[in-house]
Amino acid sequence: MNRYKEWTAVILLILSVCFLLRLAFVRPELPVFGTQLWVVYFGSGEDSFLVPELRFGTPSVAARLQALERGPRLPNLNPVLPPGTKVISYQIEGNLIVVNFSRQLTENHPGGSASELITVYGLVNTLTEDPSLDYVQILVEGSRVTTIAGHVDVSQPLRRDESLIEAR
Amino acid sequence: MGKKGLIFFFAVSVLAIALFSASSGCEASFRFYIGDREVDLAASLVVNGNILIPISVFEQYMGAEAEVSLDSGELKLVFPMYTITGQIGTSKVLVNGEEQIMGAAPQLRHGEIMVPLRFIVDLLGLRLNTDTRQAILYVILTEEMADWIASRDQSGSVGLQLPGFPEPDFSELPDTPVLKEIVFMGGPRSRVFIDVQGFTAFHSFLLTNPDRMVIDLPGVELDGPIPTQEINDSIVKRIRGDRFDEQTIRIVFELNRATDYQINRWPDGGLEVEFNYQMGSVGYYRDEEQTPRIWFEANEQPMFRVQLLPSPMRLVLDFQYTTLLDGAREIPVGDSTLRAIRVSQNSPSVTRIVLDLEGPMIPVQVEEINGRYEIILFEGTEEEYQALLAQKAPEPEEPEVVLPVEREIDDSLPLAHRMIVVDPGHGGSDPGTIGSVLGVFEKDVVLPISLELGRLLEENGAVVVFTRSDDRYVSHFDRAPIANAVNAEVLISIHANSYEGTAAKGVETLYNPLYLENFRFAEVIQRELVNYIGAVNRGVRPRTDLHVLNNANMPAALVEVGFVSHPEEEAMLNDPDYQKRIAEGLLMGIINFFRDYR
Ligand SMILES: [Zn+2]
Repeated sequence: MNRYKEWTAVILLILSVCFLLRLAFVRPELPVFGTQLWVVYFGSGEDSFLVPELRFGTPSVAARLQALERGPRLPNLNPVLPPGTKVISYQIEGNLIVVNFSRQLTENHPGGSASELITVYGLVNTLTEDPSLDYVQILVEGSRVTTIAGHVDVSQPLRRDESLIEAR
Repeated sequence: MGKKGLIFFFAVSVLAIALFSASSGCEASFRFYIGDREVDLAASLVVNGNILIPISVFEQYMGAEAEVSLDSGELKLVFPMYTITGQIGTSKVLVNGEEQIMGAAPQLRHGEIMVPLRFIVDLLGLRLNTDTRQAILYVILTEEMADWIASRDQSGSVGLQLPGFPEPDFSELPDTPVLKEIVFMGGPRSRVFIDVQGFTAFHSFLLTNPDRMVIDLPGVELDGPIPTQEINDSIVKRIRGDRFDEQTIRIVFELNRATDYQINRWPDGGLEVEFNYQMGSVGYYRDEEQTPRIWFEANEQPMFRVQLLPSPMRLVLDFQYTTLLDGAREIPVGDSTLRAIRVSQNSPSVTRIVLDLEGPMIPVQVEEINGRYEIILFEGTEEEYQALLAQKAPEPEEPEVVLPVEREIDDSLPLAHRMIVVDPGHGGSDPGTIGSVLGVFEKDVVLPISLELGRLLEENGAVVVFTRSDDRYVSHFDRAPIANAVNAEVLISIHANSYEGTAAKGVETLYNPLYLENFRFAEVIQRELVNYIGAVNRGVRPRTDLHVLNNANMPAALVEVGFVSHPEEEAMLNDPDYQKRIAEGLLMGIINFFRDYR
């Protein structure tokens, strides 16, 4: 068991050093003995901008989608997907991911362009954190919709939008 | 050393979280030192987990020569050993002529070019360090670098690092992580939260006979005995835990059957355990309409990844976080498009259903019917499916344009003969957003504002066309085309806004930045409206993704006149006097636009 303790200590030292040197500022693919750091974007509790929430673990596409589906852990953040929205399926074609959502994405959306932008780019920015993905196409029960809540055109693949991450 | 490592790791992760949440906004709430000099960090930005700082910092504090061209977006940084050339918007840079990739692309923010700090620090062989307690970020210099900086600005010597470093004081941090409790949270994946205060390593594995999952927590103290919990749900029978040996706490999940699981670390140290969804029988049939359907039994609907593979043609559905009960199997079908279905456990966390196809097929939708899930399939490709939907959609009719009656117009009026289209957002079956207290509908707020604006515009000589002038549904596809059809000189779309919570309020105007005229139009409307009604100014927002604006052939703006999610603003927006004042403010914006730019 002493051996195990030593081994743990070594790993932890390496972890600490890795974290010290690289901090949270590296892209989240940093493999630190299975503990990776990644982010999900949620709506700020104060106003309509996106805030990254940290996650430890493997940042697979499924993990990112599941994190979006479940919403934030921090109490002062807002989910980006409307209540009851499920991810039915997803398909990856090169640098494009097509995500098929249940109808609650449009039916339960509270509306307003501010909150619609947070929904769309919370999703797009979280998925494009994956370095191999640049575009996100949203489907609702298999079909391309014009908008989710009447303003933002989501009929075509969307690119990341950093401007919404910045504070007021 | 292990203990110190743990504490240090914990502390660093806390800082990382603090920095992340702090710097998601532009203003960083950490202090930043290069050597022993504090840097006045006007702005910082986190992009893809990279911290970006203004390029001028390297010039001012690190003796670099920076050259930037805001026109072309080119940037150049010259250090004694390295010349870095790059471009805004691309993470590729040339270092001494050789291509390298930075963690993030340089960006323009508030007139400053922001570049990734990490990349430069690594390149120069410097170190980035932190004081977690005081949220300070340090660049520790090498002696050559310090000499170089001192020689560049003749301000005397530069210390390698902030005095007082490197012994951070951890005395107030908990010495040892403590296991507080194990909380069964349930759900289809039998979620369990192991509340460990402090950061812990863990080690987990499955054991058989009987099936159980074990998590060992080394170096963790117990707060008290761990009570055994009888769960008896579809996955977990019982959870128990105890000290395994001097160093280790062992938590045992007694399972109904061996199944894969995920353990996610929470930022403050806790561990979240989740087991896979459980998939039972799988089958196939065609419904009355001959639509092919795959059904499966599961404790909840898992998401799946879709792949359509050629030669031989197969549709592969990978169900994430899913355990297949009852083993792999093949279900012969012999259908016109489907030969057989194969089901297997592809990896511990993925159950795979493969459809051996005669022709292309895609999944469209999942329905829950009689306690099982049915995947509705479409016989054809994705493109064919979208084409079919487009066909099924009602034929877009020629937009109904109600031209105003001809009238005598006084040529001296400020808007004489100007053709203006006013677009009240939403309408009919689409209420738009709904107010938080009174429950006012966006469609009912924007219509009277639009009608009043139209009346005022006509008073000032304009010819006004509405996309709707009563409570009716108008498709997205008709709004801008109406403005295009009448050759409108401007299009103004009027909406009311909404955001989660009750804090957001004020006016913003959205425009497509593709044409300068759009910006001018939006800017003048925003300015005049905000000044006139005294609302919070949220500014103009360039957006390239708004449906109504993108399809307009003339200067167009979408005005969000206020937030119905804000209780006071909702009440004001519901007040006819305030609605009138908004219309008056918008009128002034439009008059000024034509006066200044037409
Ligand atoms: Zn609207």
